[in-house]
Parts: sequence; structure tokens; C-alpha cells
Amino acid sequence: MSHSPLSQSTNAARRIGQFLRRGDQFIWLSGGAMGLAALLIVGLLGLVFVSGFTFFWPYNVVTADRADGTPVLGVITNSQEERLDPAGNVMKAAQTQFKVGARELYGFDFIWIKKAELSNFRVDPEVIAFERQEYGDFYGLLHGIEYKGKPVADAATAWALLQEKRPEARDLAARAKKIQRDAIGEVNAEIQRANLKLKVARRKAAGAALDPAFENPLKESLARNQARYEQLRLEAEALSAQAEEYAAVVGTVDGQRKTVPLAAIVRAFRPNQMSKLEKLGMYFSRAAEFVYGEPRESNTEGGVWPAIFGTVIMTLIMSIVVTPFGVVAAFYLREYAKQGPFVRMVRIAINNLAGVPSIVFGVFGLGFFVYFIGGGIDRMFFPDMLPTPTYGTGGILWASLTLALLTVPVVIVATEESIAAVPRGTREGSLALGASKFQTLVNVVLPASVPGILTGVILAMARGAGEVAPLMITGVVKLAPELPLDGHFPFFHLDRKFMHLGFHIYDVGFQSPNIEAAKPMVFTTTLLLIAIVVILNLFAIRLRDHIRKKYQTGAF
Amino acid sequence: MPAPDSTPPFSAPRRAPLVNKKVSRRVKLIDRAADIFVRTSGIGIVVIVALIFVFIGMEALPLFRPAQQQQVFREKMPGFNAPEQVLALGLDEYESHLYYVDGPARVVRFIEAEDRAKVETFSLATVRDPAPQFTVAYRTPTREKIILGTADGRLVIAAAKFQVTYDEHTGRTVKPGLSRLGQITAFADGQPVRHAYLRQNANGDLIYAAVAADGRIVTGKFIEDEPPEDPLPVGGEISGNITGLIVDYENNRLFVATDSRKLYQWYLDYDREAPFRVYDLTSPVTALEYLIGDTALLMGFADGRVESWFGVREAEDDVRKPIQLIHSFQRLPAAVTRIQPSGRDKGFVVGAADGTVNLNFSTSERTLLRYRVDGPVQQLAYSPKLTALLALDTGGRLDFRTIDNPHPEISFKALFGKLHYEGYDEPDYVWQSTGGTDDFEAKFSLVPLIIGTLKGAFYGLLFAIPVAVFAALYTSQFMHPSLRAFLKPLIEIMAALPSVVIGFLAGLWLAPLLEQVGGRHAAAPRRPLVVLAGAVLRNTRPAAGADASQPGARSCSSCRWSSGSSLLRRARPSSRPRLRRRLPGLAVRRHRPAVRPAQRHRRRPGDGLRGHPDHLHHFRGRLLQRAQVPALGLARPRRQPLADGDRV
Amino acid sequence: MIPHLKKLAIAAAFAGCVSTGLSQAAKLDANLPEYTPVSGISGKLTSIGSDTLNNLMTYWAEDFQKIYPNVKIEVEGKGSSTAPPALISGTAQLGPMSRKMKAEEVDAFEKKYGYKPRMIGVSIDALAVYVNKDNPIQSLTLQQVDAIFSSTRKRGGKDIKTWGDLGLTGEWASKPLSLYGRNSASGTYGFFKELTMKNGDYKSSVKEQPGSASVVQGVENELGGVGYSGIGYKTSGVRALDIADKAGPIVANQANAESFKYPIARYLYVYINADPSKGPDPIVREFIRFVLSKNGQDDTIKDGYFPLPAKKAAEFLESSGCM
Repeated sequence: MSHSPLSQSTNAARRIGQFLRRGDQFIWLSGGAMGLAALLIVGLLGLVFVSGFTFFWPYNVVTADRADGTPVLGVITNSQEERLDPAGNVMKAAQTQFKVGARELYGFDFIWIKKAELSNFRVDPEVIAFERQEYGDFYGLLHGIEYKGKPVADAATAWALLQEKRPEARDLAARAKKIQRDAIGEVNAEIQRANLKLKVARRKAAGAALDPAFENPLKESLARNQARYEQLRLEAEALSAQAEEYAAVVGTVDGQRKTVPLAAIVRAFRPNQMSKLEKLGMYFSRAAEFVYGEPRESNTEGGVWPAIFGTVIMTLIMSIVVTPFGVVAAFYLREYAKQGPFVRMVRIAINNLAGVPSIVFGVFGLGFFVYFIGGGIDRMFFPDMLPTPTYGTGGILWASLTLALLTVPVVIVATEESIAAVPRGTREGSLALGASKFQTLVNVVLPASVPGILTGVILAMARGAGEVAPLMITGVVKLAPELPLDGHFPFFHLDRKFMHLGFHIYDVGFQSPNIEAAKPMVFTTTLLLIAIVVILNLFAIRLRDHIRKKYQTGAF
Repeated sequence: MPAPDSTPPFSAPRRAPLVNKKVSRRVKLIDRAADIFVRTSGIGIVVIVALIFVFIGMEALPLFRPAQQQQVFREKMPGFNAPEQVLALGLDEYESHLYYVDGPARVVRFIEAEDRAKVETFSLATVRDPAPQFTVAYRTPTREKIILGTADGRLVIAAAKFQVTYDEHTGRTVKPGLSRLGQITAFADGQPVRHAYLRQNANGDLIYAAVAADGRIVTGKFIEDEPPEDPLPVGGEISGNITGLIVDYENNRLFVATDSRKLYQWYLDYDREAPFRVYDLTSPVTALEYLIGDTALLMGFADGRVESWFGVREAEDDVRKPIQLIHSFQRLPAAVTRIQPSGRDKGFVVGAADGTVNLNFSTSERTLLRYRVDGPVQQLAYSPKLTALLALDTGGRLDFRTIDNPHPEISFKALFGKLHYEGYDEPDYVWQSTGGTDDFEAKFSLVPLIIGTLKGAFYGLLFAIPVAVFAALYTSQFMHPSLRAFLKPLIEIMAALPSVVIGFLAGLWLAPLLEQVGGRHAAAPRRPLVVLAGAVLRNTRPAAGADASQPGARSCSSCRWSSGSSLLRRARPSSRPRLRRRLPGLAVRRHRPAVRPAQRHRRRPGDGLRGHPDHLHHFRGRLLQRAQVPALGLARPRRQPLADGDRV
Repeated sequence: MIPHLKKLAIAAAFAGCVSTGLSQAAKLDANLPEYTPVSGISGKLTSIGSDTLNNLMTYWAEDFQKIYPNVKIEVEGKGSSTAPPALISGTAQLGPMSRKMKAEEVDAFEKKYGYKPRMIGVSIDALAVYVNKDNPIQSLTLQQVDAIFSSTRKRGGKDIKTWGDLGLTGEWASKPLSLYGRNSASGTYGFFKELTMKNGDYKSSVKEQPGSASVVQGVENELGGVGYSGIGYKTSGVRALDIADKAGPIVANQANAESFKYPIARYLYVYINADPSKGPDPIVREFIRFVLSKNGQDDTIKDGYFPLPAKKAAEFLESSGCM
């Protein structure tokens, strides 16, 4: 018997009913939600990845003619299609965006030009691209090379000479910089130390004459170092001057000329002649510079090494502080404190700390750590440096402590939970065998709860590394001249301000004046920050898994 | 975080079997020391963590501290003979000198506040212009500019100058001085000046208005070091004697009050010849002033009322706005004799004929201070830094008080009430905390902030809760363990995605994208969408939920800590974890058969110690117990610890 | 604006829209002094304040450290309102601000030190009202700017909600304005409020951005966007509108900003703590001298601002006591 439509539909209804009764729709719903969540996450990572990864690729430099006959030269960075409104009027004209470089000549880096005005697109193999120390990129033609203002090469021979002389000039400049940074830094540290000693002695003497046996060597050392400083400075200046001797004469496509010292050219290349392989090489060299290099041009160019360094160091200090604090507090709350309204209240307070906006922690850190504790340290131990503050201003220590405070509830809660999860029987077994409470805690409870504690620390680190608002007022700077860790005694400079990738993103992304040029860099930095957080996390996750396995097999 | 009940704290039995006395003593000692150590440091850490609340409280409390005043001295003013002699009274910003214009003597006297016997006198007369008889004087609340009217129809503009020298040892020395900036012939026919008023705009130009004895009004602009422009007359029929006139710093809005209970309003830029509006008042105005910003009028009446009025639009594009009563302040027991606005905030001082002095704050309609001086208040001076008040009564007694009033603008009503702010057409909840200059009226209504926070949270949760909960259900109950092992860390890592990255993407990538997709209609719902999407990115961490619904997992409730985003924090009230945790109750009940406890147990994190059969039994029992919890777990007794759900 | 004038302006805008030729960067005043280094300068300088000046301070810091390798400069910039507390607490020696200090802030400083902080103009900025590059509008009057951004409209006029209210036609007429502005810690926020809206209030629909660059990016990414920011933040995706006063539209260029003919031009300042009896610290003095020299003013151009005229630079140098 064939199914009548009616019975078919009742059949379907029954099946739907069955489906509903079985609850399959919830499985599909939850599966869909999982898919959506995963999609969001993967999509986000993908977006950052795609936007950030193209940053280093040396694209071809394109020449085109505009309607008025003037040529335009640059990398095509974006384009938009025409959009009409319902009445047929043009809302948006079809346009192409060029990065023309030479900011100091034009006053801008990028320009949108109507597609209709552009014609005769071509790729001129002779076009050169400079990545410069200042003013960003330059695209144009190489007209010659000058040595001390005199031309030594014409357009035909210039490229070869440039290739030959540029590394030399860069090397000279680097040497000058090295002297400035290392040798002068050392001399300077000594001058400061001697000056400080004199200042302290003078203050102690309160107007009386100083003991010449004490004073004279110091003065001598001062004079010696001063002389050495002058000598080094001259040396560095000479090197710098020598580095500037060779200069490239370049011209923009519309005929403006400019000389660029070879030492100021970070990279010189002819993108239109490069093979894919060469471009890939350039890509990696740029990526490496980004990771290891120093920032330039108020952080919109160059590398982010100080920021990477600062982020990692700060996260590590924070973890070192937050772990014992959180664990001890959790053990106290769970094992030692009398359970009652007080402990319940403390728990509620700790939970609610998460509801306190992180900027409030920053303000607290500024008021408590920086002004109160830091100011106190300055008055007690560094009165001679005042009014220039040493610890009484934001620094990596205070930023780390503020973040530790921000994340300590994470560790407390995670630890508490993992302690609570240790079964009663195990503890009782330990106690029954004659172990004391402390022995039980250390030998039985703590090992079993280590994975949970580590989970807490992971989450704390993850949160800490990504937090920006509280750091902004407790020690993060846009540009820190020195790393918090270096070769000068006492090596670890906890009072120094530092750079941070999160703040770097915030700063370059929201406050950079040349945002168009800097935007890809923001994505790249984002990628880097995520990578660092992931690496720190993976490390902790691996550690957790390792410990977990160990105790899983070893427990029974 | 509720109290635990699964594993109550245990304590070592008092009488542990002693195996070796020596060892046990050491063990005991260590145990004891550890006890003390953990307790002290535990409490210490809790205290440090609690400090942040103390800190917030300490910062917030002073906001609600009432104003304080303290009398410094009360004595007869040097050189005082008759009340009419003192035309204006002033106080410099360091409160080192007080000064007054002595009309008949044609001088300004500076009296040192510390030692009142030290008086310096500067003459207002010059060689070229020997003896104008001064009839009126007015001092601006800021920058110590003075306008004087003479008996022969002229206006003299002067400035009190205070030269500050600073020395490391002796500190600050203030030396007073007076400079005559110029004079204007206001009434060429030589009529005496009855009232004069002076304002200064941002460029430093001075705007003045004056009334002659016969009721003629002129206004004009005076620029230092430039030949004075002739004043322009103001037309219009006025009834009664003028008791006050004020003009704003744009030389546009002019108000004149008369003893016949009338108030006249001009917009001089539009019409100099006739008043724009005339208002009938119930009582004659005895004191008339502009509040700082020259928007709101302060009026003191013969019956002791003090009111502030300002313009409210009648039509949307009105430029000329008729004024209306906005704020009424505490009524004084006698006629108002003097109003002295603050030069820095929306506060002002009023004095009455019975000697009462009130310090009011306009925005919140509050009277911050009230005290009495010996006689009818004749002159008032409010120091530029708002830290001192000086009153002179008709008996010539000076009353000098210091004032501590750091937060006049904060009151319960200012934070939560609907207030009528200057320039607004109706009372409203507004948050606008800062302006470019001092005359900005700060608006601190918390209502928009609260609503915005809730709105952000709502939009965020609207999306985040279902996605996160259902994703968590799926991960914990249906997903293949191997896939889960991969997805969970991925999502844990997502929790670590810096908030600044989310903000950057939401603001710079997502918002424009939504605009492009939504086209012309997108503008309105876009912001919620961005918040929502941000919240989703921030809050969709199924791993957290997965833990919660997976019995025995630990990291669950800690996960929520990690969701700290400063930019999108609003989307995350503390109630979220609870909601999230309540839902899994359903999941476990309904789908329990789908996963065998033992199987689940095997891949549970950190459960090395749980292999104990006893524990497993305990665990099953609790699972079953949980399964009997009524649907959704929402009916669970409130006091039952919620954190329990994490562990089951 | 009168209707037919409006149409003209729009037509002109369409004609000259994107295709205007490559313009020239700002020029330095040739009379600015060359910086002459002195010996014995070393130590640490901390600058906390305006984010508008953040990049400029960083440029100066970079260049100053090239001259004095043993000077370390740390630059923080969270908004002008953070400068006074930092100067007062002594955590910074330089306090860059994009507006003048308010009397309260000066008071707080004076309370601690007994003297007032010194104000030094370091550059000229023209605040620009930006629209999307595809927006045909060419100029706005101050009254229109007020009506766009302000809920109080102290300059009068009707509320402006759509581009049609500004005379645009077609789809633009119904397109709502999407407003972008700065957060309240920013000096730009206060300055714009004071000058264009006579200290009125911003509409609650203004999207407050954490930085000037994000204002520009917001406008760049949204067709109906309009926002205000320093001229130094201009990108190719936005257009700075002329601001019209009684005499007609005024372009935000160097000449108009220098003469303050452009109505929302301003000085950018650096505040320092200098004891009047001792003068500023040598390192601070040299920094200020550097900033007000040809070398320092060159960086203002690099950052997109306008350099000071030599006369003005000399004035500021003298009043700062850094001669």
C-alpha cells in the first residue's frame, strides 16, 4: 500500500516528534554553537594572520599616468569599486590607493586616485625603493651617487656603487652608534656614580670642606671620564660624518630631486627586478628585523625587540610574584582558616575583584606602589637622586606587581579548587599513617593540586600579558631608551620603564600620525603578541600535562 | 565564591600515634611553624588584596565630605569711615592681600592679610586726569579687573596686579600694585555713573556696561593698549530705577533689573534699540550677577529669595532664548544685598541685610555653607582659588574665613538625579565630566554610565551566553575526546587574547565591515553589534563552560578570571559565571547516559588521586544527587554553594 | 550657508575632490636658530602627558639622544590631563599638553612648589574636521560644526543629524552623520569643545576614541563619518574640511594656522617645573632649547604639525627661562 500524503505528513510529524523527544535538536544546537565559537576564533586568528603576514613582502612599484599627464609612482595598496545610490548618483568613485613614499616632499605617504584618471600602468624595472632611517620609504629613480657633494656616479653606474658603498656606510654608522651606546654609556655610568658619591659626601658634610683624600680621586676620575667622553663623542661624530659622505641622488617620478645619505638607507632594492625567491629573502630579512630591531620613527618603523623583551620580562616577574602569593593565600583559605562568614566574605571579595576594572588596579598601583612604596624607597635609599625619582615613578617592578595583584585571584581560585578536589580519603590516609598536617599538605595535597595551580598561573599569565590599561599608568612607555636587563651593574633594573607589545598595539594603532603606513605593523605586532602568549601558555600547558601524568601514574 | 562543602577543612587529629618522639617533635615544630607562616602570610595577602577596596573607598569618600569653614579674623577694616566709601572689595589668589576701592579718596588700598596694619595705597588719579569723583566700582570675579564710574560720566578701567617673587629660603613674596588701563567717556554730558559692569573674554578684551543717573545705558568693548572705541547706547523704555545690570563677555546678552520688579533682556547683536523680552518679577531684584560662563543669571530679591535663571529655546533653531527660573536656592532671612560668583566653578556667595552669608552651588542647588557676620553684608569677596571668603558689613567689620570645599559639585542628586544644566532645554541625565576651561559646568550623572554598562552587558550576553553554553555542552558531552584535546587548549589560548587586540579589531576592522555590509541602514544598530561581537570574542570561551559541565574539572571557575578585558569589561558582570554554571546541571541530567562516568573520568584533568574507588563512589553519588536537582538548576536553594557545580 | 553657495561649494568639491595635485609639506622659518650643543649634559628625562604630542616628543627624544648619547628620555602619553599630576608628583620633568593648564591644575602645582609651572609653546596645530574622502562636502561654518557635535548648540541653529541637513543630495541626504571624537582625558577634546561649541556639551552619540589616529580611521572607514583631530593625523582616506567664518572658508594650512586665522588652530605646549630662583635643570633647559631650534622644529613637520615662526619661538624661549 502506498503511503497517502496524509500518512506521509503524520509520519514526518512523528519523526520530528521523535527527533524532538530524543533531544537531538539540542545536540545540533550545541554543535552549531561550538562550530560558531570555533569559527569566530579561527576567523579572528586568520584575520590577524593574513593582515599581519603580508607586511614584509616587497611588492612591485607601479607607474601610471594621471589625466593631467603627470605620472604617479608607488605601490598599489588598496582599491575601491564605484558605488551608486538608488538614484544613480555616484556615492563612491572607483579609486586606487597608492603608497607614494617620500613623505618629506609630498607631506603624505598615501594617495587615492580615481581609476578613471589613471592610465598606462607599467612596471619600470629601474625603479628603486629605499627603506630609510627617517621619513619612511622612498620610491623613485636613482640619478647618481655623490661623494662629499660631488657626483661620482651617474644613473647608469649608480646602482652598482650604491650596492658597494651602502654596507660600508651602514657599518660606519653602526660603529658610531655602538660607541655612543656602549662606550659612552659606560663612561656616563661612571660619571654619574662619581657625581652621586660627591653629592652624598657634600650633603653629609653639610657645608664643611670634604676630605681631600676622598674628594680628589673622585674629581680626578670625573675629569678623566669627562675627557674620555669628549674623545668618544668626537670619535663617534667622526664616524657619523664619514658615514654620511656618500649620498644617493634620487628623484621622484614627477621630477623632484633629493639626496639621501647612504648611511640613512636601511634597505635599497629594485623591487620590480626581484625574483620571487629574492623577494622571499627580503621578506624574511624584514621579518627578522622586525623581531630583533630597534623601533624607529616614533615606533612606526623598525622593530619591536624592546617591546617583546619588556612583555616577556614583565610577565615572568608577575608570574614569579603571583604564584607563591596565590598558592599561600589559597592554602590559608582552604586549609587553615576557620570556615565561616569571614572566609566566605573574603571569597566574595576576591571574586568581586574580577569585577573591578583593570584601570582601577592601575590607579591603585600608581597610588600605592609608585607613590607610596616607591616614593618611600626613594626617600629612604635614594635621597640624593631627588627630585628625580628612582622608584617613585612607574617602572617594570611596579607594573608587574600591579598585574600580580590583578591576577592573584585567578591563582587563588584555581588553587583552592584544585586543593578541594583532592579527595578526603587521600588526606585521611596520609594522616592515618602519622603524617602531620603540614606533611600531608606538602607531600600529598600540593603535588596533586599542582596541575590546577598551573592552570591558574597560565590563565594569570595570559591575562597579564594582554592587559594594557593598568600598565599605561604604572610604567609602560612609548619609547624606553634602555632595556630593563643589560650589562651594567646591577643588570636587572627594576626601576626602569619598559615597552610592551600590548601598549605598542594601542599606541601605534590608535595614536600614530602616519596610521596608514603603520597599520599593517599593528597586525604584525598583534600576531607577535598572540604568539608570545601562546608560547608562554603552551609551555605552562606542557608543564601541567607533564606533572599530571607523573602523578596520575604515581598515585596508586 | 561560596564556602566549600565537598571537602571541609580537616585538622590533624590531636593524638597522632607517636613513633619516634624526637622526630615527632621536629615534625610538630615544623607543623606549627608552617601553621603560623601560612596563616600570617595568608591573612597578609588577603589584606593586600582587600586594600584595593580600601583604596577605592578612600578615594571616593572625600567626595561626600561637606564644606568646612574657619574664621581667621574679624575686625574693623583700616581706613573705613562710611559704608558708601567702599565701592569694591577683592582678594588676591594667594590670599596675601585684600583690597578695596575707596571712592571718595580715589584710591585702592591693599591690606596685608597677615598683618592688617600694613596698608599700601595706590591712587587712581593721574596727573593728566587729576580728580574724578568715583561713584561706583565693580571687580570681575577673575583676573582682578576693576571698572570705576565717575561722577562726571566717565569710566576708568584698572587692574590690581600681584607680582610674585619666589625665593628658595624665604618662599613666596607677593607685592601688590595697581595699573590704570584706560578710561572711556561713557556719558559725554557729564551725568554721574550709577552702575558699571565688566567682563573679560578669552582674548583678554574687556566688555563693559554702564548706567547713568538718568537711566541711559551704554555698552562697549575695551581693548588694552588700543584707543578706546566709543560706547554704544542701548535703547528701550525702562520703568523704575535700575538696581542692577549685567552684560556677557560677547557684548550681546544684556540684562537690566529695576526696582519696579521688572527684568529686561536684550540681544544687542540683534537689536540694540528694544529689549528682546521683559519679565515681571514678584519682588524687586536687589542683586544681579552672571554665574561664571555668562549663561546663567543669579538674582537676589528684596524678599530674600535667591534664584538662577537661564535661557531655554522655544523653537529648535532659536538663537535668542527667553530665560526662565531654573534653580531656587535656600532663602535668606532678609533682602539679598550682594552676590559674588566664583571665578572658577558654578558656586557663588550671597550676603543678606541681616548678615547671613550663604555659599551655594548652582548645578546641584545646594547650600554648602551658611554663617552670619555682625551686620548687613555690604561687600563680598571670594578668593580666586575658592579657599577663602571675605565679607564686609556696613559697620566696616571685615570677616575673613578660610574654606575647604573640594568637591562642591558632587551630591546624591548630582550623581543620580535629573538636573537642568546650563544650555539644556530641559532637565536631563548627562555625563560630561570635563571641559576645556574653568567655566565649564561639569555634569556627573551616573545614570547614562549605568545604563550603558547594562546595555553593553546585555548585548554581549545575549550572544555570548547561548554560544558559550551550548558550545560547552557540545564539547563536554558529544565531542570526540581527541578533537576536544585539540580544541580546548586552542580556546584556552583565546582567553589570553589581549583585550587591546579585540578592541583594535572591533573598532578598526569589524565596525567598517558591518557598515559596508549593512549599507545605509547599518548606522543605527551598528554599535550594539560591535559591542556584541566584541563580547562574543571575549566571552565565547566554551572551554570554560566545558570544564564546568565536565564533572571534576578544575579550571572552570578560574577561566572566568581570565576574561579580563578593559575595553569590553562592561559586557561581563559577575553574574555571568553563575548563569553559566547553572545551566550545566541540565546537561548532566539529561545526557548523562551519553558518557559513562568512568570514561569521562579517565580524561579528566589532574585526577590522579581520584582513581580511588571510594572517591569514585563519592563522585557517582554526587552526580546522582545533582541529577535530581530540578530543571535548569535554577530552583536550587540560593544558599547552596554555587561553586559546587564546578566540581560536582 | 546660503543654499546657492552651498551648491557651488559642492560642485567645486566634486571637481577638485581627489584629483588635486600632490601638495607640499610645511616649511621651516629660516630665522630659527640652529641648535648648539653644550657639554656636560647627562641624565634621565621623563615626559608624561598629551597623546597628541606623544609622537612629537618621541621624535624629539630620538634626536636629542643623538646629540647627547648619555641622556635617557622616557616618553609616556596618555592625554593632556595626565601631565599636571605627573609634574606635581615629580614623576616627570616634561609635561606636554595640547591645551593650556586649567587654573585648578596650576593651583595644585603651586600648592606643592610655591611657584607656577612654566608653559612653553612648542608647535602649532590646526584641529581639522575630517570627513570621508568620498564625501562631497567642502566646508563648514563654526555654527554647523557646533550643531553637528554639540547637544547644547550654543552657536544656535538647528540640530544637524543627516548629511542632508548640510545640503548634500541624493543618498547623502538621508545618510546620518556618524560622529567621532576624542576621550575626555585628551586636550583636543577640551579645546574643540571650548572653541567650536563655546564650552557646550558633546552629543552622546559621539564615539569617543582613545587616540587621534583612531578618530581618523573611524572616519576613513565609514562613509558618513565626521570627526575632529589634529591636522598631523590626516590620511589619504579622509579630507580636512575648510572652516568658514564671516570672511569665507579658511583652509587648515600653515599660513592660516600661524596667523590663527584658521579658527581652531592652537599651540601645543610643554610644561616644565622650573624654580624661579634657580632656573630649569640644565638637561631640561637644553631639551627646550633643542625643541625651539631649527632641528627641533623640523620634527614638527615630520609629525604633520606646523613649526613655530622664529619670532614666536624666541618669545617662548625667553619666557621659559631656557636661554
